[in-house]
Amino acid sequence: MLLQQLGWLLVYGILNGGTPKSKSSNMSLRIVYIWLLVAGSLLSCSAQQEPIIFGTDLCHFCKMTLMDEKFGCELVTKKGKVFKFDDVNCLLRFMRSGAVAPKDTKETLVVNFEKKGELLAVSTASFIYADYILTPMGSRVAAFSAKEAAVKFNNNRDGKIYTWEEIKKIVP
Amino acid sequence: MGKNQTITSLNKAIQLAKEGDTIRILPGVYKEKNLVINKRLTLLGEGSPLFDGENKYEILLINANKVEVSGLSFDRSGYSAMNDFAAIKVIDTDSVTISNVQIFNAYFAIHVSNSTRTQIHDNDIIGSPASEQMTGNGIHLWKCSQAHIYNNNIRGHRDGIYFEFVTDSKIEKNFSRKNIRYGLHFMFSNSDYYGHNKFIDNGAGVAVMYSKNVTMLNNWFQQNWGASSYGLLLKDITDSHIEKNKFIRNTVGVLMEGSSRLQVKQNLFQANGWAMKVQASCDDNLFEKNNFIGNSFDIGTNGTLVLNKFTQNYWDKYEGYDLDRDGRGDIPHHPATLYSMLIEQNPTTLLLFRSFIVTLLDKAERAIPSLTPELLRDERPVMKQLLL
Repeated sequence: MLLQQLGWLLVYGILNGGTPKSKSSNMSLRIVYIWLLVAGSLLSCSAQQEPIIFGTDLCHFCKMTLMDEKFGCELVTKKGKVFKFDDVNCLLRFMRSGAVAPKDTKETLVVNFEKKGELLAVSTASFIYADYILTPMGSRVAAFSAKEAAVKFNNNRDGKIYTWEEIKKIVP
Repeated sequence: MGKNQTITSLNKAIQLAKEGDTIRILPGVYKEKNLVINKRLTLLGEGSPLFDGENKYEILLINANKVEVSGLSFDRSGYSAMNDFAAIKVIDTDSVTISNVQIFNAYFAIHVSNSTRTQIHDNDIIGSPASEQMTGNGIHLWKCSQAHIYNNNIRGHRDGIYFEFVTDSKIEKNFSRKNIRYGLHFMFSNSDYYGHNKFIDNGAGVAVMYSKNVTMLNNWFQQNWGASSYGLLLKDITDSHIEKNKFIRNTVGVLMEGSSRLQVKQNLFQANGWAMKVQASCDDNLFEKNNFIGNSFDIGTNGTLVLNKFTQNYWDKYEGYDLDRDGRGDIPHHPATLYSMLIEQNPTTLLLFRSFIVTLLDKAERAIPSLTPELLRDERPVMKQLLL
């Protein structure tokens, strides 16, 4: 946030700092360039989630190509590295492997079962663990945006509804 | 039965038929859905009668032992996000045979679960790759054993052939190409054999994962190009044989991770980006008498630990001499170059490929190994290309 404000200040400074003579198109072009540079450098600074590209992205853990838009996970580190997974168990195995320490993790996300490719923060998502859910790596876990959505989808079948903290313990 | 016969619908025919009967189906287009065969019947198509699922329905469900289906065509079976709709579904059976069938534009083409001794042969399966993620697998087996799948031609599906929890089965002489993900995909399937298959131009080649005792013989892995593509992916495979296969023009011929006790013998690796990437998590594997010809890199690895053995391979990049003329090089060959190690850690350095500085680095590294694993070497490389 502070960085962004600094950036704006910089741009403002450049815009006002020009001498009266500098109103030529050459100068304004230069300003545009500086503007782009600043904007670009700000963008590359922030660690952000990325959309999963199904059919192209590989699961970082099992190396399978992600195909099923109902499933998928993502882990973003504080430095901005993004790891993608095809199933909850692959994400969990990666987290347990210690390759990324919990303190370096910025976000952990999971695909909304009901909305293709939409990423939910695991902490707010609700999960169904059931035999009737067929996932790419057999975790049998599907994620929903809220508990109500999960209950509605489960529709009194034999699925159980869990939070992320519970899922972490249950899924091998 | 047929259009101008007394019985005009297959559904009717199935209901009238008795255990062990044969139903002959004459040419025509039949719009029938959710047909269920629950007794021992033979369906015999004459002149390729076509069953149209109108993109909405499953067409045929087989739920009885010893059913035989041959000579039929299926088009446009439906798609469902939750259920695996298929043109032909086989559930809880023994000794079912599906042969000489053509299946077009299906979600899943042939879907078999919980069955034994299923025979699937001489079928043509062509999916519609237009609807990328909406396509299922060509031949899909789940919890089966002793299946035999041969002479099939599959393209345009997600995975050409998919095995999950399938044991003691054979996959032979199939031709799987232009599938969106894998030509063949194996998961948790032990004691299976696949041989003489061709896997060409698939999204990412063939994946064999989390399985034991798999034998892969005489297959072709060709033309699997792409940033994250490979001919054959081995992930957590143990006690298996990979012999006499051909890996030609793939980004990575074989990608190995977490695999042990594999015998990799008499294979040809030609014109690949990397012939093999053997991750440090692999151990106790034997690579013997393979030909490495014209690959940009022969072996890539990500660590310095080497617990695998390379012996008597032919490397076209070998620079040693054979002064005692025994057909074997006098000094060991180190197939992993410094540069291939660098790329593994920092892919953008590929920019410097074939530059003077890289050649210099590689030469220096070869003389005094520092970063490349010293133990990753072939003690007795052969001087002449092996006849395979």
